[in-house]
Amino acid sequence: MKELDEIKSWIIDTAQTVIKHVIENGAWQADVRIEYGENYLTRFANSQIHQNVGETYTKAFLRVFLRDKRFGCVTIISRDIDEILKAADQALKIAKASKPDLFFKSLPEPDRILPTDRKMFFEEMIRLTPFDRAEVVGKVIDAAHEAGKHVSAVNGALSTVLRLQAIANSLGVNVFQAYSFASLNVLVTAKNMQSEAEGFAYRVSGNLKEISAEEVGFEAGERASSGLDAKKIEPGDYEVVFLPYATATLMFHLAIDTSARSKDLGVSSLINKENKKVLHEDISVVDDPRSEKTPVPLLFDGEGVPKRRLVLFDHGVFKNFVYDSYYAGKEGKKSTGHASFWRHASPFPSNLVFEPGNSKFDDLIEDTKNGILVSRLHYSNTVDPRRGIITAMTRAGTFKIENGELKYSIKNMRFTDSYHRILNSLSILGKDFRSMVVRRGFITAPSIKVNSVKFVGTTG
Amino acid sequence: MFDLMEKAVEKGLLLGATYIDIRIVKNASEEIKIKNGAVEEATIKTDSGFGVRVLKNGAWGFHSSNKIDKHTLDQVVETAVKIAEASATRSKKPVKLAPVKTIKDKWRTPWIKDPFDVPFKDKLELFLEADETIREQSDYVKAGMVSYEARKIHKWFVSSEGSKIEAEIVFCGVGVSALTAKNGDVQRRSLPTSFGGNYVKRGWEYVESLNLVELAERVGKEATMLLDAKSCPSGKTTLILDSSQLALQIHESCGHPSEADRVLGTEASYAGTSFLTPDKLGKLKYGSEIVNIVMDPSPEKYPEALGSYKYDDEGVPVKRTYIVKEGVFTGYQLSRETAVELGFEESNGAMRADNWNRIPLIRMSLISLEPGDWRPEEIIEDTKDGIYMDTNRSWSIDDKRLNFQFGCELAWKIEKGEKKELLKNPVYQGITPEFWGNCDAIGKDFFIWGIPNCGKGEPQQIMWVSHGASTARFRNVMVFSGR
Repeated sequence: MKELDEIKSWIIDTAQTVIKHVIENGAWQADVRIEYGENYLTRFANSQIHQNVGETYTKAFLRVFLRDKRFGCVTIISRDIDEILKAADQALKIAKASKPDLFFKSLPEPDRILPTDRKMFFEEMIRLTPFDRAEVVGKVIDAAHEAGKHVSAVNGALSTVLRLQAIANSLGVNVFQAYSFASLNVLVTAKNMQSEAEGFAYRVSGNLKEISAEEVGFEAGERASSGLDAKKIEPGDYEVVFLPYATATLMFHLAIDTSARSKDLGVSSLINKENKKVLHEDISVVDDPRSEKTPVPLLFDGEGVPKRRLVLFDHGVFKNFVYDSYYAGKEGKKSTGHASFWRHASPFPSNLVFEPGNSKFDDLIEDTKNGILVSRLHYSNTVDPRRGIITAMTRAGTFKIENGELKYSIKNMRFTDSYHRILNSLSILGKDFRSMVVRRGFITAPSIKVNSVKFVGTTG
Repeated sequence: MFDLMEKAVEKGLLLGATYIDIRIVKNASEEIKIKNGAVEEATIKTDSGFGVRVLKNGAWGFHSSNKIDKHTLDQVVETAVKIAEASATRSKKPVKLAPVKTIKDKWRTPWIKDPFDVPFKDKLELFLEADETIREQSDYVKAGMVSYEARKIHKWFVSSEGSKIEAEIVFCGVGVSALTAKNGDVQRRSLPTSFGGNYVKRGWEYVESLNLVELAERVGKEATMLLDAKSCPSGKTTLILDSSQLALQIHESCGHPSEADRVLGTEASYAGTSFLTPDKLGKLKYGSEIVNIVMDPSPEKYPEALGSYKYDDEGVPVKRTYIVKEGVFTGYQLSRETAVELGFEESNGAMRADNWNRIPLIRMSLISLEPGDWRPEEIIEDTKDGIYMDTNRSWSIDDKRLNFQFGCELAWKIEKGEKKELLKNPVYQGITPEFWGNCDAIGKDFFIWGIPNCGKGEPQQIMWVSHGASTARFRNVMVFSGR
């Protein structure tokens, strides 16, 4: 801890030094984000550890603005103050050679950071050794193999992350936060004489201790085992039960559309839809760092703007785009606290929560007459941004549901459809939910049952 | 630099490592993005650091730091060894490495004008002119965009087997694109290709060689024309792809599935596996007899290709390898470890890391479809009825690389050997071996496209790769409108 305390002081002091330096050298406004990180990642495949990596780094991102709105940015990975100041001079040089961006109004003023009673940084995460991580992975592998005799390979990654972040700007913003989290993804392969199947499970938590390795391994192993002997069914329009892992992918595309940058570029499907009903009335989505459902509460965004609960969809009605200071200034609004950490002008939700419902998972299955259970989506991509049309393959557990019962495993299928249409056909919201790490934030989503998804192809 | 690294290698061996390599990397990059007359991004990134890869007790450990001094090197080596020891507690099969000859060499890519020496102002002037030209083309242009990136990498490699390699790499690329909107419809047109443009291992002279302002005029005009175009019809038809879209088709449906790590399951949990399993090697009919796909990153042949290099990040000299020969699946992209596992005598040099803080993974280099003998116009003239698609707009493919769907920026209806009508929102879909099996014409307009943003691995690494491709024709392909 002593070493981390020293690092904390160093990054806070350095942030101030950098701001002072660029203002003294001609900047009108400036901000700097400095992050110290320790990342470890243990990857396993074929039921053994095959990649095991670690890194420590100190990274700074600095923006300087001249009075006529010319600006320059630098990113540097270094713990050497002279190198960082040299990079700061380079940012000034770029700004002086640049052209004014008159859409830029101002960096944010300091604002009160709302406290959280949730713990963001767990000391025991610092003390984890490579052997602790190997032990967790061992438990995952053993539990997955115990889930079924046909389990042939356990694959995945255990990641542990520590971040210390200081942000300062020339208008007086001076904030610090430290947080930790661990994520575990597991993909199990099962095989018999005729076929092969996959099962997936995922967890993320501020503290590795909160993740049950056995539970995750078993969940993925069980799903893989029951996916053997998959049949091929014809593409078409089906009811679908999405597990939270798959719903989170739909939410990722929705999150992209809520960015003020997507709106500005004209590529969001939510343009001109503020205060209009876009999704089913049971769907409410918030970006809320204080929600108990989000794994790590982030106190402020990449510009040091305090994060507050922001309603994105209220009972299906689209309420808000997310802004950083650039796009907020451009539209004459206030930043919603969604600035990116390492990019200029690229806002994105960081604690997105799709509010779960009250139904048990079995209710979702029972509600389905002729449908498909989709455990996870693979390689999703936008086909038509203005209409919210996306395409993706199902993966790691796709099952046919008939007359309220899970009947048999089916080959992976491709859907190409509008997520608006899919989410408008919501039938039941599950109460179970999971969170996933997305970009530098988190998406939390429940299981859902929808009445219509257009599948256009099948593998195998 | 080598002295410092050699001492750290000695330290690793003293701690019981059976193999150790160290890479020191110094990076500089410059990114400029213009949107609607404003400088949206003007960022210089610099970093340097080192990564230590260690084998102990038959298992891998890796650690890295951005602080390059003897004390930190020693600490990082110790941690890497501990990580390897921990890996070994859950390893079933000890890692074996295919032999490699000891290399002592220095090489560099062939730039003339260092992009970092070109005044920022000059770059900006050119890009702002291109951006303005895009927006002048019509009132429907919602956004004109120019994106440019240059990167300079200096790296040193030392292994416990005695190799010492130094490399200096410079690459850059640029692209222009227009977004147009009318009645709720949005169209995009990009040149030389989409998602940031085309990239090469050259200096600023490459940017000068492109007539960026002319390209800007074209994207503005074509994106406007697309607004009034009909949507692509649905059904099975003959599909002709331009070489830039074909490059992505090669990337996704041949490049990724022939990566030996995917084949052996070590990328299963993230990117997926592959349908090109070892039992199919030398047997599977991957495509028609005219389909020859080759990995050939040697800088002697194509020094300017973004994916070319002399040695990979295991210190292995690159080796030309056919992945598909006369339609039959014949080879993999290999590392030293996967070469042993798959029964090859040696690696063909496909291991690269995107920076000092990442381990090398099997990455595509220069993987190309060999050209045919058709002129592109001949392919169109020879097609009675079909669709021609150009420039990628969206992509998706399954975890085994079989079922794919690609969208393109624009298409033309082909009737009686002529491009008849412009079409928008074209999408095609297929299953990899069926698709390549229906390839019946390949052009001689071979062009090497550079893709700077191929993602793979955990933590994710972004690699620069390239693909040579020509105009090509495929029969019986399902096409439809992505609208």
